[in-house]
Amino acid sequence: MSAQEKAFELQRQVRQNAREYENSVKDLYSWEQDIKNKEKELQKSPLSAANKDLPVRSHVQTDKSRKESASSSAASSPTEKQDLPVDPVAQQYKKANDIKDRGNTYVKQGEYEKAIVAYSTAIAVYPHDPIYHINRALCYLKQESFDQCVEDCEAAIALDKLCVKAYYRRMQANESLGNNMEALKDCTTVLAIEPKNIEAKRSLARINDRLRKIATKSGPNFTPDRPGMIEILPIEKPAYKRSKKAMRSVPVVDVVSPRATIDDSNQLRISDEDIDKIFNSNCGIIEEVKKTNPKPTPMPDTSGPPKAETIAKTSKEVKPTKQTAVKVAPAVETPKETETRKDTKIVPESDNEAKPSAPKKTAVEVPKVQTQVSPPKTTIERSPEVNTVQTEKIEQASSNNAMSPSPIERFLPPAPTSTAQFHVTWKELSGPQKYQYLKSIEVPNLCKILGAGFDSDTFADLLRTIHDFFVPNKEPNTAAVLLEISKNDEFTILAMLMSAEEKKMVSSILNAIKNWPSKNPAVLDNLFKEYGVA
Amino acid sequence: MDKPQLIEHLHEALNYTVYDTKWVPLSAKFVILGSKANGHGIMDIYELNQDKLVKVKSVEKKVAFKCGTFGAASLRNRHMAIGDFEGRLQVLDMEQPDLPVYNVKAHNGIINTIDAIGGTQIDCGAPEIVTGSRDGAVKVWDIRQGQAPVVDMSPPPQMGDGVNNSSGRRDCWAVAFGNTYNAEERIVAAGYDNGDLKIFDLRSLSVRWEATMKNGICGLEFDRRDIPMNKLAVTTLEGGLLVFDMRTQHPTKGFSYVEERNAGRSVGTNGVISGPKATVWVVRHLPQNRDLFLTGGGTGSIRLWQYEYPDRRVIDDSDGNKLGVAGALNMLSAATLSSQPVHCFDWHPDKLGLAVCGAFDQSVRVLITTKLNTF
Repeated sequence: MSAQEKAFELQRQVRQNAREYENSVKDLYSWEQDIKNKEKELQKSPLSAANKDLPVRSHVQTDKSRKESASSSAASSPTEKQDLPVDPVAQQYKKANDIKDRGNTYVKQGEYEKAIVAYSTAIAVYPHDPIYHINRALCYLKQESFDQCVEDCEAAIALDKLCVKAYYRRMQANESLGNNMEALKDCTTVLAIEPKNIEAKRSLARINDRLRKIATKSGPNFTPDRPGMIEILPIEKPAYKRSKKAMRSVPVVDVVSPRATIDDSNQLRISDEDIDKIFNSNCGIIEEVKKTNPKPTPMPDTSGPPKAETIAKTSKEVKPTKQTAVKVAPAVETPKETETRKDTKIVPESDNEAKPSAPKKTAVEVPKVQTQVSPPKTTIERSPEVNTVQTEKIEQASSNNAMSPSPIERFLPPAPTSTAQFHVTWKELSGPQKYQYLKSIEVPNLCKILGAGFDSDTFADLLRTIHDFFVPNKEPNTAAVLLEISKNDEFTILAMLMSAEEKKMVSSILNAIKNWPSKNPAVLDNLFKEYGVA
Repeated sequence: MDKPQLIEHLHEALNYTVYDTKWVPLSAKFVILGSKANGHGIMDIYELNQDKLVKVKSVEKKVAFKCGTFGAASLRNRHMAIGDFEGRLQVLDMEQPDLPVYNVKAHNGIINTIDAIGGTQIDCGAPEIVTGSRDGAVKVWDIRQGQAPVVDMSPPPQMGDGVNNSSGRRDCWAVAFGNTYNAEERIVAAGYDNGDLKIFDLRSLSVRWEATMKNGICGLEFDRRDIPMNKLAVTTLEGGLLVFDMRTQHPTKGFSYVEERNAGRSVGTNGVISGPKATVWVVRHLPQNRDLFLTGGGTGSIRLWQYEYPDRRVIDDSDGNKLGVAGALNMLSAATLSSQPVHCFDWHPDKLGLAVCGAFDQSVRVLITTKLNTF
């Protein structure tokens, strides 16, 4: 192709392109007119609704999820706003759920009363969903009405056996009620259903701790190991070696007082009066024994010593039997029941033996004190040498007692030989006895016997005795007694601290003596002076 | 000699930066979205009037506009979905553009790219808008639903010191709808600045496929949105142009593709390719012929390509799996329009060969392409 041809071809091309462009532009212009007309028509036409019926993508998904949730468990279904279902039961359920939602908002606001009302309505509308019960249980729990909480939890469990929340809330309620064993059961149930529930694990540890603490304190589950106890361990046998005999059910008897045997030895060491003091607030052993024995009068004998001996003997007889009983208990390696049974068998025997001696005991008691023989009661447990302090205690106990025995039954103690003996005995005695007792003391010894322990109470007592008994009986030695009293070292102070009543008594005594025929004016004057009575 | 020619028909110089140009469907008007020097957004509507452009309407808003689309709008109510520099997605009615029809804070960062579907197509699902943003998220919107996206494809939150948090997240530069051949099926392709290409299946809400290009992805387009996906054109930094055959997905190799590494370089009128490897900013398929498409490059040149299918699109590999076979790319025409990159381009849906493009030299051009009817 020559250059000329090339140039021509290029020219032709350019011209053609220009023509094409020209045509295109013409075409474009005409198209512009067309499209503008079309556009105007379009403007006039009504607004076409855009693709209206096609669902929004996210709405399509909610439809899907709604279908899924409907098929899943009712309890977990979301209670969001949905179209009313056609099924009447489903409608009821939805209504109940709405009420429950209202209750939930109340709970969030802390208004448990209103929430309980809402949940109760929900249960009334649709009683088959445990969630309402669980929620109401929570409200009760918050209100600390634990019994109602437990009831609701049980209702929920009846509807759904695997309702973890119900078990957990019942556990909480039981814990608050102090039913630790129940709580433990519920807690283990929760963990059985949901082994990874951390809260339940924590609760389990807490309850176990508490149970262990109680058990070590005073639990019925644990008794200290007795020496010589044989522990029987279970034996693992392969199935073919196991006995073919049917299992026999052994009746298990509850022991009412399993700790009695343990205390048995201790019991021997505690004296009766101590027990009396502690448990009966000093109402007296004597009286108690009297009650058990219908005939206390047949032995009103006063001859103490021999009786006391017999009592000592019987008590000694009793003692061995008791000791054997005590010995038997640990020696026999039998189950606890038989052991205690043996004990209870033995104890009545010893009681029977002891009972006849009881009246003697009471009969001899007072003379024994006078004769410095140890009281028979103590012989059971204590050595025969009873110090005076102990006897004093006994005497005090009986004197303090309002129901103390009548003076007929009490025997006048022998004249005291020492100050202590006097004071101990004196306080025990009734008015007439005091008169007798005072009379039995030789007048010259009186000053010495009163001794340093002479106090205002005793002094007032003495005066009263003299006033009440010596004066009416016109005892000849009244003045001597008074004089002897005045010789005591403590007297000066006591005289100074005499109350008006006592002074009146003294003056009446002295005035009475003054009128008596056999009177010693010198002594009388002396007495007036000593007692400070004009 | 009977190759198509890309002829600049009209040219309009503007006093703002153009970011997007779009034809208004069924009209001789187009919309220019841009950013003024003071950072305000501007939307101008121009109408073709013989040999000149007439500005019909101008709307200025506080925030610069980045991208827009009419894809979700019906022919009658011309609602344009616009993404702006602050991550706000608004839908404006062209008749009353002052008050948005729909307005949502869609992203934390600038919305780089937008695509929409369902406006005019029939039987292809709900009208939806997809946005890709600098915050790395790709979100699908339905203006009938309130302020929440219907689908949110955000990257997982990054662990780290919080200072370099932004670097951890990929910047989404390109999104495109596709595969919308019935009411359920729909696919979103998303390209990221690190070259990641992700194909999201909106029906199953899963990632259908992902791959990584050598360079960041600037442009994406399916040859047709409303057919079972056929081809996907991808343009990248440094002049890459890839066309994937989307008909056949191999279990391990995925989709096969054909690559053109020189698509960004300028082409002289004598056919000599020269200059640096420039970014290919945009790819647009011809609405009237899906095998022809145009790319706009960083050197201010545009090129028209034809995809030639292979003899057999699918072969069986040694394992018996089906493997797609990519075709060949054939450059039909090229033209240099500007000294600055041509970054936005739109074929008129109704008039063959009519197009509008914007470049960073603050001007828009109306192009006429001849002889396209011969293909």
